[in-house]
Amino acid sequence: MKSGQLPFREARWGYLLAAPALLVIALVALYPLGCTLWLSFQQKIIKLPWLHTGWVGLANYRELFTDTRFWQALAHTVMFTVVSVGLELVLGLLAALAIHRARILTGLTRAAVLLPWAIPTVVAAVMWLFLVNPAFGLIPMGLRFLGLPETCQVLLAHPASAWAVIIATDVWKNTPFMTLMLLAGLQVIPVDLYEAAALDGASRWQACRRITLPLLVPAILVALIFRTAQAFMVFGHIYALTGGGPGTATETLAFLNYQAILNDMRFGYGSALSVVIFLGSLAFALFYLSAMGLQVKGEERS
Amino acid sequence: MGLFGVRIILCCWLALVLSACEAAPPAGVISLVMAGGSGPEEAFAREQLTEFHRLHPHLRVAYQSTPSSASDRHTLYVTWLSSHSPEIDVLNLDVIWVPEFAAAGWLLPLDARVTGAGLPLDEFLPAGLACSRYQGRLHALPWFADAGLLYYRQDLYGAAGLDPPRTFADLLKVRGLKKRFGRPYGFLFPGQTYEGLVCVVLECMWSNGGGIFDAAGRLTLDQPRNREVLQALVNLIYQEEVSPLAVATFQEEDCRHAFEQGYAVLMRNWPYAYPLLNQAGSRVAGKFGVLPLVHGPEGRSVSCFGGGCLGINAFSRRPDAAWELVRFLLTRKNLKQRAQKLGMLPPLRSLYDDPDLAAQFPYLKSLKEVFIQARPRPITPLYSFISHILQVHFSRALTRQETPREALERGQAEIAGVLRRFGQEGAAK
Repeated sequence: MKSGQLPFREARWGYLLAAPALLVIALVALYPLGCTLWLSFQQKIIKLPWLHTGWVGLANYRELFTDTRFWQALAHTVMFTVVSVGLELVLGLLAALAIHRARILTGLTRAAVLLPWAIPTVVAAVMWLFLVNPAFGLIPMGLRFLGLPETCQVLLAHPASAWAVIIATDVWKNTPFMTLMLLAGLQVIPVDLYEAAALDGASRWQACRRITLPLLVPAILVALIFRTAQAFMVFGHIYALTGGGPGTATETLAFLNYQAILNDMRFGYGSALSVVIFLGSLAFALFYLSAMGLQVKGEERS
Repeated sequence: MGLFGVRIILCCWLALVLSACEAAPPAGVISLVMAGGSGPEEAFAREQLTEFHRLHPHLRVAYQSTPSSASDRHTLYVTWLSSHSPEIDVLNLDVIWVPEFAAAGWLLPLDARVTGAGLPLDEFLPAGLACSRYQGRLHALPWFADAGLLYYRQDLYGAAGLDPPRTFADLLKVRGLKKRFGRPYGFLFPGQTYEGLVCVVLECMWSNGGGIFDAAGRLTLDQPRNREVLQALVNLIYQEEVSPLAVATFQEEDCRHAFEQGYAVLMRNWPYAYPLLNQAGSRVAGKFGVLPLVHGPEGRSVSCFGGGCLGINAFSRRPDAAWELVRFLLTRKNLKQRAQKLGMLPPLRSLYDDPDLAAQFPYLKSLKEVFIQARPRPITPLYSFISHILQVHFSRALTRQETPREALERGQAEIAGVLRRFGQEGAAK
């Protein structure tokens, strides 16, 4: 039954009951969002109060869209999101399938797998910082052993290898989350489906492709929503590992936003950037939601 | 971002708790708040404040410790001052913030008070005074002085029978020394994308007769002397094997740790490293010396001036009491004590000849000129924007993402853009 068909009094009751929740959402989500939007049309640099402060129309957006650093950061963010979430999905799926089949020490295995995820981002990043330290880090030591010159051992001084370290840190830390989500998805797949497939003479591979993967899609989508939204906002790793360097080679949108607001104190410009980041993650979320919607409808049909 | 927000909120919360904890002062007592660093700096400040309370029973100072990271502290100060909060009376400022805060109208001009008190301004190191002045008026007073120094392994140079390095060309000999004594690193300098990198490259440029602005305030970043210097630094890494590429990821503390372990022959660092390198546990204790920085063919050695100032919040409700505190902290005796206890060198010329300090810092007397001749970074409220542009391009040059020529060309264009956009007030003085 659609809400439009409810008697008027019931509908009114419904709105009344939902009102406190809506009010809270408006207060903690919509109001700050509105403020950010408003600020994004202003020039406000709090460390330069002698400068004109006030309405500047679309100037912040114009500056943003003509700044090569913004486009570079956007490209970095998309690259990071796609590569690290992609790797986490593949590794997480493999790990989930393996753990799902493991019958011994299940509790212990799961706890052990989850460990990296429980470590705060900055702590994880600092651990990796030690691993790649050019003087005593394990990885440069290995590269030295292989006979590579000093300039190849300093991983954070080259854009490509700096990204490799950042992505490795993220994959190391967040694959367990993916595993856990997918493991939960695996456990709700009814066993009788596999038994029926086995009776019909399906191979292991066929069962995996025709039963496991399709039925895992909802869990995969949920995991992807969480991870993509998080990866799109990546800041902690960058801050602790490279500080956006060398130069600006590892700057992401969130890091640029931090630079604009907390270093340059350019609240207007930074807000414009925040609005763009918000729209970006909104687009991601809508895309996934519609994909999930299709999924649900597909299930209803079948 | 959350990290900083949380830190700031924590600090404000701490301020509240601290102010609530302190017993209400008896009638007639004026309360002050002073903001400064944490750790040993705070411990020593509290010692000095006890003495201050004894001398001024009608004044009571609460110490507000702030983050030791300069950028965190800067953010915190701007948050306080931009809201015109009268909460903090006396601020410990980095020298590069004074023009920015002065232009914003956040610091009390001190000229009349300095004249009234008969403070001998000539006594201060010239660069310290220059950093404290904005548009001809004093907005702060120097509290401690920093200048870039060259740390070198006296023992290795002695064993090899080499003279200590004095010019850029002398740096090239370090490769031989490094190999001969089996050290992984030759010459270390901080090269990460941060303020320290700007100091290092600037002093190299100055020591070769170059710089960012000329005497008339014109932007001269993209000039042959600067290009020569930047190219020389890049060559030290990729051609001469004098500096490791690791410097591109180093800050001054990373350099200090590596030097302390005996990994390096030379290091550019600030004076704070001296007592630490001589501490028990350091592998180079007693084996190193300190020199003026090396210079290029076109110039003489010039160090970058750093350090801290004391300023009074323009919105303070107790400016007279705050001035009493500033005067007390800047007495010769207290500055000397601070140098002895914290290793933070005094801003007064005459203390560089002081026998007690000379015993503790043997290089002080011979390097007095380094401190007197040290040059401040460009004095403009837009410095942080300029510095950020320089950080990016210098770092790109060191990691070969840009050639020195490109780095300077683009840096010059971007700085010109900032000066144009933010107007006349931003012109370097």
